[in-house]
Amino acid sequence: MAWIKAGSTTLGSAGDDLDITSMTANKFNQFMSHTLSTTARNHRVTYDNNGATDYAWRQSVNGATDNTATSQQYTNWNNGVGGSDDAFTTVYVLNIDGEEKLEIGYHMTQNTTGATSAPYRREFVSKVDTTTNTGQFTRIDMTNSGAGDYLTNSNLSALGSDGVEELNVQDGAIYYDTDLNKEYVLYNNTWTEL
Amino acid sequence: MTIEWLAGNRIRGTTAERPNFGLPSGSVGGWVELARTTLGSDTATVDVSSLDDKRYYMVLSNYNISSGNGNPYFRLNSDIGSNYSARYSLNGSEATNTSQGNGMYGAVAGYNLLPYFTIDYFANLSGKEKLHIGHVAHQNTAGAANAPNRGERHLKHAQTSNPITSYNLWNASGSGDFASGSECVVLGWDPDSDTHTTNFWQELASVDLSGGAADTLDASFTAKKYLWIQYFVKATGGTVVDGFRVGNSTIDTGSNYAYRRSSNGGADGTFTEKDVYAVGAGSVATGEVAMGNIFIINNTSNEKLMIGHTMLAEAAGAANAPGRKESVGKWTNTSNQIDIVQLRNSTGTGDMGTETIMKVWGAD
Repeated sequence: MAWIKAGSTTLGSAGDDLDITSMTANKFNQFMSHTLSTTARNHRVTYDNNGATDYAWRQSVNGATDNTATSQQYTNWNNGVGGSDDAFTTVYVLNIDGEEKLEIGYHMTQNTTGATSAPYRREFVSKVDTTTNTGQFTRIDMTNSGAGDYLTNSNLSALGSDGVEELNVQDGAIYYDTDLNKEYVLYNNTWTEL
Repeated sequence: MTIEWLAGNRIRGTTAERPNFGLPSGSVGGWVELARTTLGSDTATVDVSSLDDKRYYMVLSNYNISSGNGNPYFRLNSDIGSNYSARYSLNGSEATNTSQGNGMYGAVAGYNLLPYFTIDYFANLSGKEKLHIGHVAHQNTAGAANAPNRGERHLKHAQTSNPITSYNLWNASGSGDFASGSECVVLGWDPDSDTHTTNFWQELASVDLSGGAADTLDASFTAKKYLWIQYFVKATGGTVVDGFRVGNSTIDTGSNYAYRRSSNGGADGTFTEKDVYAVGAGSVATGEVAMGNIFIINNTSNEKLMIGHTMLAEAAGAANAPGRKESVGKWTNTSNQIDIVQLRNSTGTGDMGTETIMKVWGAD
């Protein structure tokens, strides 16, 4: 298997939705979002359009004591650090058929522009139970529930672990090229002439 | 002709048929290496320059100061102006700074000459402040009697004229060079312009327990300098306390591990001279699931430093909030690389179920 681009959306105009609607399903995923805002934004995330109360999370904001939320209609990537500024999130997501879907995430927001203001941060873990959906998700919706918009060029990206390479040949393999009458040995994805 | 697979790991075919090692046409890969700097001798800075403009960066660094007073920081674009601010947690203690010219420093305050391993992510748009999320493991004094230090750091660079073009490690004390072998590797990924079919992270092993529940799951592989392990555990027949061991050829069961860990955001605890890196998110009850994400710097002659983040889903259903652990660990072997890892049920009463899987990604 190999890492692949599972999907990505970059806004061409301001809006409230950063959705990847036909994502390739992968067991292990890494999501990244970089949102641009000058008015209030709040990242609410659902999988496969599931808006039922199937979500729960634990979070720490700016290093404070953890708190939790249960039976939510979404997982929230910036709860507690919502603002009107640019934000960056990285999330490791497990997406296994028949199991609860799991997130380990890190989020930071710019705070007021300029180096005189320190950024905010949030650490979180989340899960989606199997009440409504049990299969692998193939869609993620990041919706701004704040009063403002995600601005043009805001992005949500998904990398996935289950890409398939063209051939699976092990290091040490010998390839005899019938055109050139030469032999090559494979090491670290490179063929070297013998 | 059609490619022929022969005995003895031999293949026969035409030039056009020689296998390529990329994704099929139309696919785009994940993180790809943009540039790196590896010091061949002691040097004042570690600079990785002329970076392609990418929306996202993942930077892997391992380094130490060789002599004098070590106080390593990173900057961007060689900017020494007061354009940095940060929020960070060092061994669980939160702090902020603003209008800094030094950039962002590592896991521990004060001078030291000991190795660091850092993972840094950046969001990058030319006209926007550059945003950063980073994780740090610092070896601390050598030996399993000394737990490593950890850092969670979030920086912004208030520079809105250019994209990130360079990543710069420097010693803020002004006394002492970065040691030969110190290295910084910059990976990039761009959602709109990338078309590559290659990856920095190669799959080294993928193992599971589909053959039957067990207390251990081992993965052997060709050793690489950088390792990324991801796992999923489901408990059966009792509890599972997910731990992690490593080794060279065989799993090291000795008391050669030390780690620092925060559970559910609580104060850090330190654990020394242990026979396992207890990276796991807690006691996983029957039917419950957990996941882990571990990065490792795997240099032969240094202690192996690990950055671990794990979560436990707790009882099924959204009425139950998950748990989490953040940790850094080290394996004190300084003569071999890791080429085998083990996910294990350390002290639980049950087994890791047949759904359990572990993947090992790596690169030199």
